[in-house]
Amino acid sequence: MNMSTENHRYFAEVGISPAKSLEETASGLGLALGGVSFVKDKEGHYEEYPAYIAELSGLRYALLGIPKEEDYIGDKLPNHYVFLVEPVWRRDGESIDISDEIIEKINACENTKGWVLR
Amino acid sequence: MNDKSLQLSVQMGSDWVRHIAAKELTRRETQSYLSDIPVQQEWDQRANEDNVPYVDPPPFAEIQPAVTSNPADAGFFLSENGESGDFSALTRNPSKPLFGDRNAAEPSDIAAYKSGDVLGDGNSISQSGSDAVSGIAELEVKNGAAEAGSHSAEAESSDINHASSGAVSNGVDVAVPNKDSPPDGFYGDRNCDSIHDSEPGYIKDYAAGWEPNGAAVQAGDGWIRLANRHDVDPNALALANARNGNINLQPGQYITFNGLDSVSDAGRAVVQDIWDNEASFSKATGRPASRPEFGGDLVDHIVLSPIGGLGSQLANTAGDMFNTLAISAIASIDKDNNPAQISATNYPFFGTGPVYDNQSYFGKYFRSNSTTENSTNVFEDSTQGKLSEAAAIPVAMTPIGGAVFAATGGVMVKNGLDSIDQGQTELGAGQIMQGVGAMIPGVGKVPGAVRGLAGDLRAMGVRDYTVQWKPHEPVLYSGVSPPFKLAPIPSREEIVKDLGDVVQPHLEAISQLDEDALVGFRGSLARGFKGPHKGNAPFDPQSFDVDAFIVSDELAAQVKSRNNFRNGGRIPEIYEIQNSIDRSLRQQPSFSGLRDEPFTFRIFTRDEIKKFQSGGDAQYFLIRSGQ
Repeated sequence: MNMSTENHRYFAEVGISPAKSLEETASGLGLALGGVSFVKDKEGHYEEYPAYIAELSGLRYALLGIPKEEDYIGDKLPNHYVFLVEPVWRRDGESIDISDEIIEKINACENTKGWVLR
Repeated sequence: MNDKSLQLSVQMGSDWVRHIAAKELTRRETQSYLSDIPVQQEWDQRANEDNVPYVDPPPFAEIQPAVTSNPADAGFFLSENGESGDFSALTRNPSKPLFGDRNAAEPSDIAAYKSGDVLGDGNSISQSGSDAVSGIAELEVKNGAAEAGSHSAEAESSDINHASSGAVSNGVDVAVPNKDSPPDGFYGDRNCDSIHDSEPGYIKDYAAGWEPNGAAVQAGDGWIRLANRHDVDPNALALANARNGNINLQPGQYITFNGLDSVSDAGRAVVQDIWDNEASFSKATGRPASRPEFGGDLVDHIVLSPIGGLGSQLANTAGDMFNTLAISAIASIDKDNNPAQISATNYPFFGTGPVYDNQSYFGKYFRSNSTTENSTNVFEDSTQGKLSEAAAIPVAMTPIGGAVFAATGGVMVKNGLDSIDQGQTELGAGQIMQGVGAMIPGVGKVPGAVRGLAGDLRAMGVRDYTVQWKPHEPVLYSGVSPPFKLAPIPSREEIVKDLGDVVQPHLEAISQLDEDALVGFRGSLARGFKGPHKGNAPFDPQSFDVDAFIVSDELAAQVKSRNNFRNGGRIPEIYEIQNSIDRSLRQQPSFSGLRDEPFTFRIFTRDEIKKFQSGGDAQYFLIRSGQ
């Protein structure tokens, strides 16, 4: 990703196949993104969603899994993971969606090819 | 790390990384500014010639531009190694620079001069022999000519800030520094990390600031305010000339940066700042200063306070820890482990009495003398030898890291650190409890008794206190105040109230996005206890986040998401509101425990929030004024 140093708000949301466990998927995404280390979200940042998170270069990466059915508040329990990118901290610049760049990286990695849901 | 990377860190880093990066940028800007100044270059050269284990040049006082680049022509130079001791013969032109000497021995005659001495127009070094800041302030004003009057009231204060103010009126041509545009003629400390922290109008932080790597502390500076302003210098090599007021510093133990490689490039001064916190805490507890955490991470005292309600004589709840804090570990460490070092000769502050090795423990801190004088329970400020009022409770000196604190404002039982001997801590706590008349059922049951005492106190309406770090006053060798302060731990109800007060003004703006939108919060702040994944522990007012939400089908539809974890920040207007709330919350004392994460609204549909409600989810809703 060619992100400038300007004060942009980068974000992304990408659907990910749940073919692997959440932990394995996080590990694979970490490799695809060039060595991002994910850790389990023990603080419950994403509430009912189990998650693995990482922070790098001012961005938080979060892989959200599938909630337990009894915890889920939506209509239909999702059958996929969601990979989120958002700024670690507030900034005032333009909001820029980098989902396509994330997808490109995931697809370019041999281990994670085909994980992205369209 | 280059400047661009630092700028990126400022913009995108987590809170503390931004802090470090911003300070490093400031330092570089300052250094760049100073590099072009001949006198600074001169001093740099001299510093390099000194061949002392010190990399950066010492700080400068404010100097008029182009005064001189020739040391012989400068106001006054102390000798490099202290052989020049006849300071009374030297007169300093206050408009010319004066540099301290990192290796200078203390001049023999300096004590002959007292506060308020005025030696003509010259601010000779002798005047800086004052032992009182207020005297210097007076002196400055006396020299201050026309403008002095405007500062006279301040000058009588012992507050060093005011002395600086007085100095401005003295016509040193520093004007009133503005942090964004240092005036001509101002020569700051290259390592000064507080330049951006200074308040306009005060020179002090520019000229002296804080000197993390200073080998000299402007010792004997005619402008004594600088010396008096120095808070900390754990790496100081020689400070003998700093015979001014509180600045009887001792060489400090060098704190290494092991484990900090990743951040040391991004602002060594600030890293040092962090380590100073760590070091002082280590000194207090016996815990090795080896981990790069913030002081705040280390302060996890349980505080039972006050105890006056149980009939103790400790009725002062002012929280003034200067004379009242006893850190039990220090003296006993030395006594137990270094008996050979306990002698008057290696304890410079006192002619007699117990000693600790300042090389090993750089123990410029408080200690209880109850180790050797078990009955007195009087505490000493180890720097100045000031004695506290006698505490009424017997404070047991505990071995390394026992860390039982006692203050007239309360009893603090330290826990949770790696090196704490839990048994000793509990024993110490138990002995404190004995002192307040509590029944001790036995050492093995002390923890329960401690909790019981805490419960009793709380039942009486006594609130808990915590020890908060003062991040910008890491180690005050002066002994003016310790790097802690007692602060009340906010109740959940106070936090909720303040949250409501902060969010309330934004409700109207949210309603303009969706008139039917509801705003509230849930989670541990609403419940009073944490979730099952955290063992349903009680809500922690010292570490919490706010699970805020907006209920709005309309706004939920605006956030395109593959799941229903909708971050309100995706909506620009909500994003701005979040930022504003975040800033406001962090200014609330009750929100000092708010985690370092941005305040965010999660957006729920009405059906979703109802599902939470049907499961017994605790939710608070905020009502717009007039609703």
